[in-house]
Amino acid sequence: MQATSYALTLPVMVPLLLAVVIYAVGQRSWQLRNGLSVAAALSSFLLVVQHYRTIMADVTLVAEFPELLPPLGVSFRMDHLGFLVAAVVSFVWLLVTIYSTAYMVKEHAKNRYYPFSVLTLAGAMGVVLSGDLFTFFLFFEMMSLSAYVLVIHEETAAAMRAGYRYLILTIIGGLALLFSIIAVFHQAGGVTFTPGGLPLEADGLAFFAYLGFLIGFGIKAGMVPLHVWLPEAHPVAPSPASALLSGLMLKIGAFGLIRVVFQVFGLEMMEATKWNDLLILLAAITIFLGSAVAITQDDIKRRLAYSSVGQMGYILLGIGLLQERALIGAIFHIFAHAFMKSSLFLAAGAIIYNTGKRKVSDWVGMGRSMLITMSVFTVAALSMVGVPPLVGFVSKWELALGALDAGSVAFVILLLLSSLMNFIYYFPLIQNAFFGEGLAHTAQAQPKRENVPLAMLVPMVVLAAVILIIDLLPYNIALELAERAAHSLFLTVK
Amino acid sequence: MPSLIHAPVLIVAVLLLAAFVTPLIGKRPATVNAVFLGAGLVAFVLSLSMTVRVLAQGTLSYPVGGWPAPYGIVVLVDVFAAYSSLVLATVALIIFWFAAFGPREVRHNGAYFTLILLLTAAMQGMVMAGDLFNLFVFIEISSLAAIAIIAIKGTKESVEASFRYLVLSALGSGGLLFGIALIFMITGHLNMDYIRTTLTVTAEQYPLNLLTSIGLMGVGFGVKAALFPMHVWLPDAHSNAPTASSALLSGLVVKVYIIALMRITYLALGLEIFELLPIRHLFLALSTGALIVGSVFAMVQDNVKRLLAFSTVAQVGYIFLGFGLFSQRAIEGGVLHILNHAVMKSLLFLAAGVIIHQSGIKRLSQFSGLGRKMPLTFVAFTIGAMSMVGVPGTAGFISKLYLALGALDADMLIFAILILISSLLNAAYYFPIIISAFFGKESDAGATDPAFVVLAPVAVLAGMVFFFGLFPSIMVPLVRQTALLFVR
Amino acid sequence: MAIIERLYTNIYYLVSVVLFIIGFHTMLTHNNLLKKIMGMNIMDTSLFLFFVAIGYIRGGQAPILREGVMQYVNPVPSALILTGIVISVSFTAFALALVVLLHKHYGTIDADKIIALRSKRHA
Repeated sequence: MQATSYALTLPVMVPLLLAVVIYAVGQRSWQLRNGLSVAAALSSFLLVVQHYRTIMADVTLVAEFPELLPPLGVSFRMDHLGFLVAAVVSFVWLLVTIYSTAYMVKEHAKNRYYPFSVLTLAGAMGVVLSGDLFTFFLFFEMMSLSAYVLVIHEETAAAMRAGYRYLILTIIGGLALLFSIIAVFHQAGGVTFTPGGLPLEADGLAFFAYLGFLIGFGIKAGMVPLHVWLPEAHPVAPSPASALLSGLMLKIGAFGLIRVVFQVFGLEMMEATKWNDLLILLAAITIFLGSAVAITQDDIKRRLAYSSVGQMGYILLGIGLLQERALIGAIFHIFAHAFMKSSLFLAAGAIIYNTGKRKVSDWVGMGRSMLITMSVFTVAALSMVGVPPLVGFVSKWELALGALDAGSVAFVILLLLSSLMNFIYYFPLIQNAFFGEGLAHTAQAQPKRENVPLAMLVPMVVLAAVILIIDLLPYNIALELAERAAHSLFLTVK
Repeated sequence: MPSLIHAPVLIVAVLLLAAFVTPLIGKRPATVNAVFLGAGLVAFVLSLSMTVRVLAQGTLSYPVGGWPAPYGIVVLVDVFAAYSSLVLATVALIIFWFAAFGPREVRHNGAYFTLILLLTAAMQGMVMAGDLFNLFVFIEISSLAAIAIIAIKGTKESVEASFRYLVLSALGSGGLLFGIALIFMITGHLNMDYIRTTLTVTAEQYPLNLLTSIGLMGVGFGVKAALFPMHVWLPDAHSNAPTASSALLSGLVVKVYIIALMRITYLALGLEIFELLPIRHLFLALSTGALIVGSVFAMVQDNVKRLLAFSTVAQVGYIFLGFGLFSQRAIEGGVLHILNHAVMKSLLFLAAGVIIHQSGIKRLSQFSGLGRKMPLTFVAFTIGAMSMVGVPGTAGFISKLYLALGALDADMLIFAILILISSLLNAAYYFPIIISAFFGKESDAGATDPAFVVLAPVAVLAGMVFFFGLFPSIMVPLVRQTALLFVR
Repeated sequence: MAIIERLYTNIYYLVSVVLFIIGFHTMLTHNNLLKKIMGMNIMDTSLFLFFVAIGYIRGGQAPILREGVMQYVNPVPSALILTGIVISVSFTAFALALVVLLHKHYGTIDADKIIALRSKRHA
């Protein structure tokens, strides 16, 4: 069922306009600037969740503006998938923005950080709520380019280098996407996301289009071998920005891939052509390589960034398997990983904020002095490893079931192997932090008190709480939405 | 409004009249500026109302002095001419403002304005001319004025560049006149409509004449429009001129010759020419060369204005590419790019001129940190550059989108990829400038944003980049009908 | 004999093409800026001749109505060429002015030397 609702544009337009206002007031009042930044994310979140009942009634909301930007037109759309991801993005963004009001106090150029953060939010919301590939692309570029400013925020030589690499790859990815969109439009005569896929022929052009999407979204999602920008760019950004980049922006790439695979090419075509094998292969490499390299990193933020690469592999695998349960896992993991990785980055940020220690080996005894922060870190890390009943377990469970549905035990083994690797790179760290004695002077060098502002603690704790309890609730709303989303994506064929 | 039928002639007449009045009305800058801008504004209003009329009532054919064709001179304003005239009038008006209130680079403003007005009048005449000889006369006037507005700066480099431009331009003119003579020889007409009807009979009798004529005219227009590989004069000429001249030359002048060439093809030669001769393939090959060579040379430039000039070489390639692909959308894209490139390249040249004037820095390697000192100017420059790269939401994206769609419509996948690769090349030379300007280490050069009156035209152009990027539909009726002139 | 006959009837066209090539060649190959301008003028003149020759009819009279005259020369090309001459004159004048300026700046009117001087200054 479809219904028209122009209110769909609001979660995008409000932050977009507020970004300008924030830039204008930022020169005069930092309180107003910070307040408006939080308000932008909050209003986006509220404007999304107000549609909860409609979405749960299986109604798809659309808003179309065909006269804008002909011949492709602009349109918005909110289905289960869009609602879930939009809610996750805006909610995590809200928490991260609250966190950054305290964290960024020590940083420079705050008047640049906040408007661009809100602009990036507007772009991300636009992507998630877009109703066709073209609108998707418009906001995707807006998001990617404004995120550049977040990446290079520190303006150090390393940041500029990483930023340049990010920018070039973003542009290449954007052009690959544009090419594919044009090819799809040429062949199908439209680019609207259609349940069951657009009327495309599986010829050379369509395959090039598929490759273009794979490159464009693969770059954004950090898929091996297109991940090269990610471990450089995520660590150099300020910690809240890293949380946004790793926790949310990567998911946008995966989200785009879901849309393309199921609503542009369509399940039937993917199954007939076996193009998904390429995606599966790359996803498997991504899982393995990301996790393996993460073990070798000593810088905590680099370790987390490589871990993100590995985790994105799960989502890509879930998409590529073309099984309903695997897709549930993928969609749920978009939600789960957003929460887990954001809390990890925020916790790491809090420790860096308090002690300036980025090296994992320096964290000996940290858990004793910064109990709350390290607890948050531990909860998220355990969830990453896949300890039940934390959220990370559920996505892995669904993914494994999906892999079995697809008849490949190899992927189940891969998932277990990767969990083991997650364990290897998270657990010693936690053990050291809480129980490690280490060299006496390192242990004593840890701060006596947990000197973290409340505005930073609360978002972390909220994130950890969600990770901890959402599976224990009688009604797991995220899982329910993921199931419905996956179901409706599959429903159209069978 | 019945008087509107005189609009085509009035546009040219008003500009010409103002051209002769400005040096005579004394030394008070206020009066000179008033006449100068007034003429530009009147031309704009007339052009706009004429365009509206042409859209509503179809092609406007105006016999000058009431003498009908074939003996009288006819001004023929179809949608393409109206569109071109409107683009010219709009962008020219903004550049006029900059020439009047921007940083002063020329000793005698009165004389400078005369040349600018002459150039604009000639360009307006050129896009609306209905016969070949008037077309030629306007081409010559515009060439001479274009050369003069480079040399008027008086520096060694500008004089030398303008002399080289003059020599090549004269060669081009020679070719053009020869071509026109040959066509006159086999048809006995100069009026484009009559030529077309006569050619259907005589073309078969004198194929050699026609072929030579097309070749000569092609070279003539190619030189003047700086189509690769006849672009060698452009970088020096455009980069050494005063700022307002550079914007006019790169933004408008090169395109006017493309418009004139295309008008000759469909009005005088007839569309059959595209089937008889491999013009399309020639366009495709040359524009590919232009895209690659222009971008690659732009990458290695250190002088900001030279970089912009080389980028123009590449952008001219886009317009020819649109006509070379020859599908409806591709032509729409090429025609839209006439407007979009006029807006964004003028923006870039004006912003660069402001930067050079305020900071005294021409070299890109010294731009480091300048963006923080003059943020408004550099934001405008950034907008222009983003449009060049084709970031969605800007005007440049729209033309690239249409061109790429058109390439697929013409079943030429490779050109869709070429367009995207050239975007990447553009990004490779525009983005480092911006990054170093905003985030680079600050140099000790003192610079600030100029006064509002200087920045106003830059701001208007920046606004137009977004406006045409977000609402291209406003131009769609004109552009679509123009494309239909070619693809029936 | 037929060839000579054809040459004779087309003599104006032939001469103008030859002149055009001479002018073109002079313009492109000579380093002396003044000679370039002369080449430009030769080229223009050849075109004027060509244009006028199109309209000329052997034995035709000036197009003024008189008794006993049956053949008139086509006046249109001649009229057009008047405009062409004006354009050519202004181009020449402007080009000469530029040469004067260049001579003032560089002390030479040899294109090669100017380029050499310029590149020396840059280096």
